[in-house]
Amino acid sequence: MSPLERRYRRLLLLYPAEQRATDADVMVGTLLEAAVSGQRLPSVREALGLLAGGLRARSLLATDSSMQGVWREGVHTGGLGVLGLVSGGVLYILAQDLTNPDFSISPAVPWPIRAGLVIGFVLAVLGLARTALTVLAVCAIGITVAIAAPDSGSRWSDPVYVLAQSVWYWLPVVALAVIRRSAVRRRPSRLWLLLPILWATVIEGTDVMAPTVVLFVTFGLALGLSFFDPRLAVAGSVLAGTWFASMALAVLTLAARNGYAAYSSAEVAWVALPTVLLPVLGLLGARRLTRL
Amino acid sequence: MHEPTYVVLAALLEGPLYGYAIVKTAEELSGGQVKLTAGTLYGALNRLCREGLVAEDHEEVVDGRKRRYYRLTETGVEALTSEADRLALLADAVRARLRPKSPSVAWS
Repeated sequence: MSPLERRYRRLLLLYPAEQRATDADVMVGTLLEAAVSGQRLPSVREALGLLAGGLRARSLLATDSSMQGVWREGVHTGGLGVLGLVSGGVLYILAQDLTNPDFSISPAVPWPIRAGLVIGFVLAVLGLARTALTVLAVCAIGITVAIAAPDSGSRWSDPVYVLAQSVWYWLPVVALAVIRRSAVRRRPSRLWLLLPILWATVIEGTDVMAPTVVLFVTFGLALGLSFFDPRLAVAGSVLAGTWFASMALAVLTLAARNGYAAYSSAEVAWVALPTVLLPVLGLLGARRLTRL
Repeated sequence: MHEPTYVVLAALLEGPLYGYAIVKTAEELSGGQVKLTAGTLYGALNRLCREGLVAEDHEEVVDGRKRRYYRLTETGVEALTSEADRLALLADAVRARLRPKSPSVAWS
């Protein structure tokens, strides 16, 4: 194999595996025939053509009807992930309130509404999507109203800040609504029930950075694996996107109106990175998955 | 119909052709205006095959390189004819407007 052919074959990795299997040899033949004698490097024009063609082929595959189930399953997994984290936070707050009844760390939201979130999560894991959706929607409305109440705290009465906080509760509702409409529905593993307990344990740790570190390790794993399974890319993107939306809204509100930043721009940028990168990697890794 | 698609279909009017032959014929037909890259060519060919305008004819290996021949289908001929007629109509309409106007019209 000549150096030019080897380089063209490397560029053909931009195409989905299925298309490479059928077209790579023919395309290489055409590329080599078009090359001038003694040429060792791919021409810029052909390289750009392969880049555009590869991305076009992958985007076509990603939007193919056979991929719809894959994306929906990713959204469902991401939604369950967000819901699991929120439920973990609720468990932590409930535990704190029980151990120290004189001081609530989150007095604005009544505990039955918070407990409803955990119940909604359990119902979703048990596959009772419709009931879970109803319970979660009621809880999300309750929490949004509670946060927006004038006596809940001066900064919380800001509508954009209320929205920033509510993103965490509304997004799982949207994710469940998506999966409700999906033809591909599978009962999630019961192991999902461990997520809130694990997350509450992480938050309970004395190191305030621990939750952030755990989330970034999760994003790292999702980034690494997303090329092989686009469902992970979508799921990770839903998780990162929720976090990013919440942070960005909080930053916009607090910095612009109250004069201080809730998060540094570097923190926001680090969360924005997986939000953008995960869908791109998912697109590049898009392929037909025979086992859903 | 995009220009590369049009010239690829037009190139195949000569009979079944393989990738590089399509590139060269398309370039000749367009007077050097359309220079297809392999990425553009195979993207267009795959799409045209899906749409039934083009079909794979046969494959052969020449000098160790695989060649796949493509041919125009009847639907492809119809689509090409329709597009050629549309372009001709458009060209005629534009030419008619470009003709120098008579002096009386121009001076009025």
